[in-house]
Amino acid sequence: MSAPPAETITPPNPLEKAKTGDGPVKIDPNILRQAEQAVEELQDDYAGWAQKDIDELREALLSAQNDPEALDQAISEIYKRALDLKGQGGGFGYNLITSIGDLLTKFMEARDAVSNRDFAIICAHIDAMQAVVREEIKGEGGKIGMQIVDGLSELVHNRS
Amino acid sequence: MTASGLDFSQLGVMIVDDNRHMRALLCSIMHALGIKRMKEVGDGETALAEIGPFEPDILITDWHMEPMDGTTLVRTIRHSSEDLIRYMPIIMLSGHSDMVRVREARDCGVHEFLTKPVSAKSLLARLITIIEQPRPFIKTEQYFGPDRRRQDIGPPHGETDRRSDAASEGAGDAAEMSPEDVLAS
Repeated sequence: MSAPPAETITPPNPLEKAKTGDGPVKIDPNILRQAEQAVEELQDDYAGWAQKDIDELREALLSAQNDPEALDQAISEIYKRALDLKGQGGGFGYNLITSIGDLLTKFMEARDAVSNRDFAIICAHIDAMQAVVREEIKGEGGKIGMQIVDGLSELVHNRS
Repeated sequence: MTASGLDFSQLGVMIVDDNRHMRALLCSIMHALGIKRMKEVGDGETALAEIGPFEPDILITDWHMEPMDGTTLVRTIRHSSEDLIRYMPIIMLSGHSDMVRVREARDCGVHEFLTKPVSAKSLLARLITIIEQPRPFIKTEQYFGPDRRRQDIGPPHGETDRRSDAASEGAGDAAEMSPEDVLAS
């Protein structure tokens, strides 16, 4: 017996009330500029926020290395912090933090278990993020940024 | 037909993210867009408790949260008996960009999916997409949410039909879920 037909419902769109006319939406460039400026104003605060996340990453790594009973929780904490840093960095102008966070989360996703060699690679990613924040390297970081990403990628590749 | 402007000051937005820095970023963008009525919460359970009293017009939620994550929150909202809640436009954010996650978000009933990091431009693009291209809701035995097909190709004929539609959608899904060109057009 075939499944019953799908029902199509057209509910009111609560966002429709944001339109100030009937035609297609035309964006006032000032709206976007203001929003981008608001994000830029948060960039200085972000360095401090990222530093806190990096400190917690390092703390979780130490816990993973030194306390076998806390290993699973520590690894999960490292992954979560790395995902947070990846998700936030570029939003605040620190694209390199996002690139490093992406490398670290992918490295961890590819491993069923972590070894001492893996801890060293995780530590290298944390050190790299630390350097980016300390030196306030915004955007992709130019030549230095490329060197950092290439170096970490090579580390991961050699471990695979 | 004359072009329409946007006045976001009439909208109420609920932001659900367990990371306060992310909430600060999203609130700043929303505030700069002109949105005055905002509520920020740190997890899905709190969002469900606050959604009724606050009555947001749109909900922006992170995926990875504890104790209740974003997909569970969206599914719960879609099962609400209140029309204002279950039809609510939802944008989901995630640090993951792989197709499996995009499909999972789509299948739990989100309107738009946005990969972190979030920019003002990408968030505004999603809001405009929801305003300009409202999609009907589809109710089947297994799904309730915005029509997962972006093109108008007529009504689906049943659950089997809808499943085959979904299966035939290939890697193009990601582009469909990421209408970055909305602002460029």
